[in-house]
Amino acid sequence: MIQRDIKNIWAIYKREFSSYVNSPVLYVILVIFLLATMGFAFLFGRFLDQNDASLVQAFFFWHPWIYVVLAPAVGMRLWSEEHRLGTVELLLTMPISPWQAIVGKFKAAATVWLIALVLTCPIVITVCYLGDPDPGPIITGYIASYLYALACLAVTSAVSAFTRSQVVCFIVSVAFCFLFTLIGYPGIIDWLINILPAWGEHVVDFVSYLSFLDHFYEMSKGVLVVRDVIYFVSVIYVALVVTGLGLASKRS
Amino acid sequence: MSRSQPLAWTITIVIVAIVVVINLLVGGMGLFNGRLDVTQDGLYTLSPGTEKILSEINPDQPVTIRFYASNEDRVMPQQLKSYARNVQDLLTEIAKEDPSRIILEKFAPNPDTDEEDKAREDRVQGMQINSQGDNIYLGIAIQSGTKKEVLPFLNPTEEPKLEYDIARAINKVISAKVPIIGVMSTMPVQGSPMFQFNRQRGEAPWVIVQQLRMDYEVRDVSPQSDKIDAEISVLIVIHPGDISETTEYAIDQFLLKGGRVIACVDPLCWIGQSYNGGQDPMTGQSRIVNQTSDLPNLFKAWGIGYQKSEVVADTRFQNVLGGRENATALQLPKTALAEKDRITEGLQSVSFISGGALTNLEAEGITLTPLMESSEQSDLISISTAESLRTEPLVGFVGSGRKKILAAQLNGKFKSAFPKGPPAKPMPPSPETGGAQEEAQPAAAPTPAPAPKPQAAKGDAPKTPAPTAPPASAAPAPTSAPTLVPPPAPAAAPTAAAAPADSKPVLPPDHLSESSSADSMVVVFADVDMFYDAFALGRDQLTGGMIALNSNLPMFLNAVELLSGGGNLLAVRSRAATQRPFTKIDEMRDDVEMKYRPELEKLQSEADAVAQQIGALKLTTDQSGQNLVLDPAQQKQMEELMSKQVDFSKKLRELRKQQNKDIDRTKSWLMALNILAMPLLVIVIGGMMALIRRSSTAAH
Repeated sequence: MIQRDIKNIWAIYKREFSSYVNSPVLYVILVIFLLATMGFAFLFGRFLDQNDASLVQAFFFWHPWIYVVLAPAVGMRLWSEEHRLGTVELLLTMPISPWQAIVGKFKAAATVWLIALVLTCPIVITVCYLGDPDPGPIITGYIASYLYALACLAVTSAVSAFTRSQVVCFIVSVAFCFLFTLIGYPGIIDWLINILPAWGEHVVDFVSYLSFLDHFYEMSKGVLVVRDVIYFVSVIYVALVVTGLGLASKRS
Repeated sequence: MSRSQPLAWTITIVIVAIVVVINLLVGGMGLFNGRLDVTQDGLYTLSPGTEKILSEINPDQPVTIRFYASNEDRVMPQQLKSYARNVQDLLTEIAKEDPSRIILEKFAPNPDTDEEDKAREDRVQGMQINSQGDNIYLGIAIQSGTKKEVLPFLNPTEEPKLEYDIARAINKVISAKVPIIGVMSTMPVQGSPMFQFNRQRGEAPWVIVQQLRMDYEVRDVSPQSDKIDAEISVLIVIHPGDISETTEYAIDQFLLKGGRVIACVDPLCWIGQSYNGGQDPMTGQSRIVNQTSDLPNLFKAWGIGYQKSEVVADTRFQNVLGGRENATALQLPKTALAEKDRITEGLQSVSFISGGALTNLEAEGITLTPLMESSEQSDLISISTAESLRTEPLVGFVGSGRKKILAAQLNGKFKSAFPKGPPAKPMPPSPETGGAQEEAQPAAAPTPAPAPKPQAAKGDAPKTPAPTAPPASAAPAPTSAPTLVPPPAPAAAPTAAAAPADSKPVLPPDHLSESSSADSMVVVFADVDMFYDAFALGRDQLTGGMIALNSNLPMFLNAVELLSGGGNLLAVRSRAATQRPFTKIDEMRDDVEMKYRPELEKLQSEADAVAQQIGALKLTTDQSGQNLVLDPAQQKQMEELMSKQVDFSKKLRELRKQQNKDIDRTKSWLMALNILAMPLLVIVIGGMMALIRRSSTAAH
């Protein structure tokens, strides 16, 4: 049973991933991502002038903002494209469960981000050449960064399950990721407090806990915090469950 | 299908609910929340030092930590909120050590709540956050019994120091008593009381001592002591002129038994000179203070080289003293201070007045860390030359090209300077009189007779130096110097050599030949004047209050605090330095500097020479009485020199630019490689894939 699951997921994964490799979108996004991360680190973060052999401030600091825009670009075609071409029916008539399809596709998109992060290795080599960095924060930084990318990707996956237009999916996903990133900011919280009645205090507390950023920085400093990992895993899981819901509602 | 719809929704809602509950339990309430600190230095885990301090909490007198952090999202900025969570995590970690002895209470002092009043009551500092006057709080009050320490506001930028601050506060509230600081000096640094019978006015203690008295119990230790009270945790030795071997032995044993020592020695102590000849209100006798001080035997054992007949001159860091540029009055910028050491960290500039230099002789088991260093354009000059600088310019001086250590910290396992046991008992000391008789003590050994001291006392200097007495008024007659300088062969040396011959092989039972622990600490400053009020404080023209001229006092207090804090705190402190610099760039900078140094130095020395000529020219006009009037020839010469000077500074600038260019080029290369290499690679691979695809479809 489990073996069949894995086989099915693997089949979907291969199909999805090869379609990424064969489309120019992958390369464009990779180039933009690499230019953006390195450009921000060196030009805005002034990485070389900081005289600090760590990647937290200059490098990882910018990642959330890059993912907000680029993760939806990778994920927008996950289901929208299938909806548009009608291949989703075909896919789901195959002897695989929707859940296997969702996981397989998500993993393919996740692999794209893995490649993207691996390609940022020059900055790790640079920092090791220039100084004697602490490897711990670099590792946790990459973990945090990857989890962030996956969270944005999962949100995009959920959105794409509900729409057939890639553009709409992209815009809505960027908006959602942006909201999740910014949600802890006082302006938004103010607004929430104003529109909610008095009992809403706890709701607001909870909502501000949902902020992605909040869970990102501590991990990037070199501490793996269980609550933050659980948070990101939950977001990914819930988003994928919602994706399944979207597919089901589309089919009905 | 449509029937399964509500089921799918229900399942989804249940799953989301479960996930939310898990998050609430772990994130909101902190259940099962774990942290895995993967930093090399364990930056985010409690250090052994903190754990040690916590283990010393008396079970009958628990420590209460009250943590105040506003949490209303309307007022609390996100950055502070997440910092507050880090603080809370740390405090939870601390409380976890022993919940029965450490009680953690959390408060959320949001605007207009009772908890806000409580925060104010605890003197936690409110920060106004908006125009409505709402305050936010992020502070800690730590209390044990009646003692309370407050960290009024926790600044996120000081996170590396957070654990230290908390540990220090806990340490302070649980310590049964304040540390005792012993001060040993041949000068009345502790002031002297008023005596009615001879109508002498009392002297105020030095400001450093006044400051110490606020935080510690300060005890006077006689410079003739043969034993130092073990209750004392830090012994400060200020200007031990003519110290006897017996006293050195006392300091030696004090150190080995776990005491800590701050020693200030000086080859040329202006303040010491200014006390000379003044009357000691205690005894009514005239006071004699040697202008030079040394700890010959101890320094040898500690691995410090120190020439008590030579003064450091530095033409780069030189400053004005008594109205003229004086190469022995150094104003050390931040770059001359040890950046990472807790004693000097964060200090801005330090004055160093006619002090000496230390060299590292690398004693086994002892690490020497320089705290202050001169520039490369420094060298040692004789005391008489140094004294003459008050009236004449320094001529023919060439920097040695090496930095001189002006103050140093020593850590490690010290060995006794007296491995053969206490030195032979000198004649009974007469504690009433000052240093003069003191020098006679080692005369048990065949030493040259000391210079008849009273002669040196100048009747024309009846000074009771008020704290603000300008140093210039304390100018000694230069002639007195030779008589004051003790014979070059220190009296102690022959004694030490002679000691084995007649010393008893039996060591006293309490004699220690090496430190009981490996974390003994000594701090040595090669200057005394720098800690005198007039060199550290000035009067504010506007308010008339005293203001700090430099970081001399903070540095001194840092050292005392560091040494009195106990090893536990030091261990916590040292971790605070989290920054790891780009060593490679520093190396490159050094290489480039090496390359350009000869040229730079040549230019600099030429520029210095011109500056000196200008100075001399100015001087001759000044002394001729007709101020600032130059004859035409001189005028011309002056102008030439001036334009030369401008020329030189331009050339220097150019050279410096050139120097930076090399480093900038490397940086630019690194940047280009980082930004462009991988994108290019991706483009190439993408292009190849496209070509392969095209050719394969074409083949079909």
